[in-house]
Formats: sequence, structure tokens, C-alpha cells
Amino acid sequence: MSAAQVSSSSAEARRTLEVTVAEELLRLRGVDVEPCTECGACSEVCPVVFAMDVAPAELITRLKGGAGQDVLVHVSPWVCTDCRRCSESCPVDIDVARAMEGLRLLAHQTAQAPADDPIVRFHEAFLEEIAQRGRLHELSLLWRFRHQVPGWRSRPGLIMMLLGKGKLSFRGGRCRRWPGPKALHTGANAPEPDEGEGR
Amino acid sequence: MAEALDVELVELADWNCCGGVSAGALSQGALEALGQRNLKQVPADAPELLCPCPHCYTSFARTLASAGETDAGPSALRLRSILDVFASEEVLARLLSKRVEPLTDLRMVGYYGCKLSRPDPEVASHRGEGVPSEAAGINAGALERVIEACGATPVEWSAGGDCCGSALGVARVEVAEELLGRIYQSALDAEAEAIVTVCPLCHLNLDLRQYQVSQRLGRGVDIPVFFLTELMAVALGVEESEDWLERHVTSPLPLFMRFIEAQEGREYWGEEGPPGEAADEKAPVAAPTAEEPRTDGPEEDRHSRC
Repeated sequence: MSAAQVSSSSAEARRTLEVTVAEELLRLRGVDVEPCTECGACSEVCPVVFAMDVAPAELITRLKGGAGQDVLVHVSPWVCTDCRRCSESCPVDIDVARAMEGLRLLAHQTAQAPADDPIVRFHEAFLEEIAQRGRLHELSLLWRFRHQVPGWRSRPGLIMMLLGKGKLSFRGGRCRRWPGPKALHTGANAPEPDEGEGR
Repeated sequence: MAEALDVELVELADWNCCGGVSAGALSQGALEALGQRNLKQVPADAPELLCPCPHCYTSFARTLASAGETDAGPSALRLRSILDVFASEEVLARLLSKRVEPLTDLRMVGYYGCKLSRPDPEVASHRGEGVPSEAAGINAGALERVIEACGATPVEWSAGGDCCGSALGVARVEVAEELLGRIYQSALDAEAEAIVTVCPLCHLNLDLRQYQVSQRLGRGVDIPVFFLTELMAVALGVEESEDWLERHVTSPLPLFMRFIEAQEGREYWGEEGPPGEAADEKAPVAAPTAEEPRTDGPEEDRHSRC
């Protein structure tokens, strides 16, 4: 199942943004970047800034300045691990970590995400896996992801060891009543109107 | 292990994956849809939902928040993190009273990871005593209480809330190794002998790559990593726990051997050789303080548990 199938099956076609990314972030994830004072604290505490092409503070500054969807080509949001040190350190309480998630989402929606970055492919493979069976079968995920791991054929050792220890298995779990990829649609699992407890 | 502590757990029927990091990244609705399917399967009379993985805990909280649930109504579901349940005062008191193998003098550091040390805003209404408070700080939280209750010595260090790399451990290994290197360096600086974690992904990352990171750091890293409930099971003497110890990539067996040697002032194998050979008469071992009578046979039986 390809990534395109996953995204179209979740009814989110690719689109072009008609407003600034900052406005989309506010709408989609409730993050407001306007208060940013450009203090740089988020960049300073970010543990993976060394692997980013644009530091978090600069990204937020550009968003505040009205950046359009061309800001979504950066790899920075994908390297972000959502550790929330940025949000914790922001003196004006901008949820920078949530903004990063929003940027990932928008980059994917507008097809601006760096296609050659293994992280992007990893997330696609992960969601494909969940769409199929509702649970994660690690070996299956690794198989989907194999092209991003250079030389995987020549390094079977780690996987063999994990198989031997029972940390990986050939059989994956699956949900009994899994409806397939459509379970990832918005509203697919919303409670019925007549359900009493309505959890 | 939960049974040993009188904690009743019922597995959520036909649960599905919360979506991890990937759902939020690639789909506007998948995170909520996956969470809603899980919520539909929670029995109406379930008092609480334990989420052993901090990320799942967060995903559930976000699903509940977006569905408009608050902690005001009686039908609201209370989420519990693994620390909330297993590091509560009540459970720790039971652990103390049933403890069989206090891990005396073992220097351990508590690794909370990201989600429980800097929770997402949606978690706020569910947050229990498990999450370290800002006032008390990382080194004085629930994990340290658990370490003490197991008889070990909690040691202060700087990396208790540092990021393990999360999915980068698979997707961008070199970045994860850098992060792991910083964590191990902090543990080495603190002279920690073991790490205890509360997140399955953190556990995987910390356990899996010590050899590779040793090469990067230029010094050996061999610090066994325990999951919270695993450590408690060892302290309680739960029988299956010895099987789990063999599944670690960074084996805790040498640590336990050293620990037993230090406790008993002798070589682990000694002249008798490894267990399984003829059980000779042995002098009684200086048993750790335990309220329950030892029902094991000669020393070999006890050692083979490790």
C-alpha cells in the first residue's frame, strides 16, 4: 500500500495553501506564533538542532513574518522528536513543538515534505502498517522501510539478534475487527449518536 | 507482577495502535480516528485507563480533549500513566512489604524521557502524582521513589528528561546515537550502574545501541536499562522476571553477578562452578532483609533467578 493510497484513503488530498502557514497552524493545531520575540531560547534547548537545516527560532520567525508554503520544504520539522524542550523554554508560551507537528502535517498536505529524507518515508511506512492491521508489526515496518537503510542486506545481524530474543517476531499482532485503512479517516470511529456513555 | 502488587489490570479489548508520531505528522484525522476507535472499546464502567507508553497516554489525552471531554463530568475517563499506577504511594507501600530481593547499593538513575517530564498541555487534567512536578524537579520524582522502594540507590544526573531520539532510532540512527551518547555520558559521569525507564521506545533506544555509541564516545558503555515494572518484578522476586533479563540487548546479568558478589563477598561462580552442577552443602547466605520466609533451597536456586 503506497503512501499516496494512505493519504488519499484518509481523504486528505494534496492541496495548495491559500493563506500563510502561520494562519494554517493556528487553524489546524491551535498554535499562535504572533507573540514570538525572537529570543532564540527554543533553538538553544533543542537537542536535535545540529541535524536541522533551519533552527526552530528562525522557523518561527519566518512563520510570523508571513511565510508561505515554500517554508515547508525544510527538513527541520521532520528531525524534531517532539521532546517539548522548546515549548517549555518559550517565554511567551508558544507551543513550538506543536507548531513543528503542524509543519509536518502541512508539508505532507502540500507535498513539500523532503521526499528523500528517510524520516518522511518512515512515517509513511508506519501509517501504512497501521492502516493494514491496526497494530505495528515491526518486521513488516522495517521491510517497508528497507530502501532507506543502505546496506540492509549486508547487515542482518541486529535483526537476527532481536528475532532470537523475541523482541521482533515473524507474526505480528492484528486487531480482530479492523476495518482496514478507512479506520484512519476523520470521524470513522466517532461514537454513534445513540451510544449512552458516549466516550 | 501487577498481581503481586494487587493491581488489577484488564487489557483493552482489540486495542489498536495510537498512531505514534506518524499519525499526527501525516494526517489531520488519523490521530483522532485511531484514538476514537480505542475509546469505543473502553467499557463504560471502566474507572481508569492505564497507558503504559507515555506517547499513547498523550495521544489518548489529545483524543479526549478534541472530543470535548473534560474532567468535569462523571463519564469522563481518567487516564493513568505507568508512573501514576505503579509509583503511587499505595503501590510502593505494597512493594516494600512484599519485596524479596532488595537491590541494595545498586546505583540507578531514573530516566523519565520527554512525555512524562514535559507533558503535552492536553495531559494536564489527567496528570497524577507520577509526573515529576516542576517544583521538585527531575531527580526527586516518582522514579526515584520506586528505585528506593526496590532497595537501590537513586543517583542524581542531568539527563533524566533528555530525549532518547524516539523514532530517529530507526529513521535517522546517527542523530539518535548523538542523543544517546549524551545520555550515557551523563550516566557515566554520575557513576550509575543501571538506568530505569518508563517508556518502551526509550527502553529500546537506550538498550539497543550501547555498543555503537561506545565507539562514538570512545569509551565503553555497558549500563543495563530496566523498564519500571521489570525492576519492580525483580525486586518482588516474580518468577518470570529472570526470563525477561535474558531479552535485554545490554545484558543485566553481569551486573547481577557483581551485585551478588558484593553482597556475599565472594566470587560468583567460585570453585563450585556454575549452577546446575551437584548442589553441595553450603553455609547459609546472609539473606537480605525480607518479611517473607525464604522457601528456596540451597544458594544455587536463588542465584539461578538472575
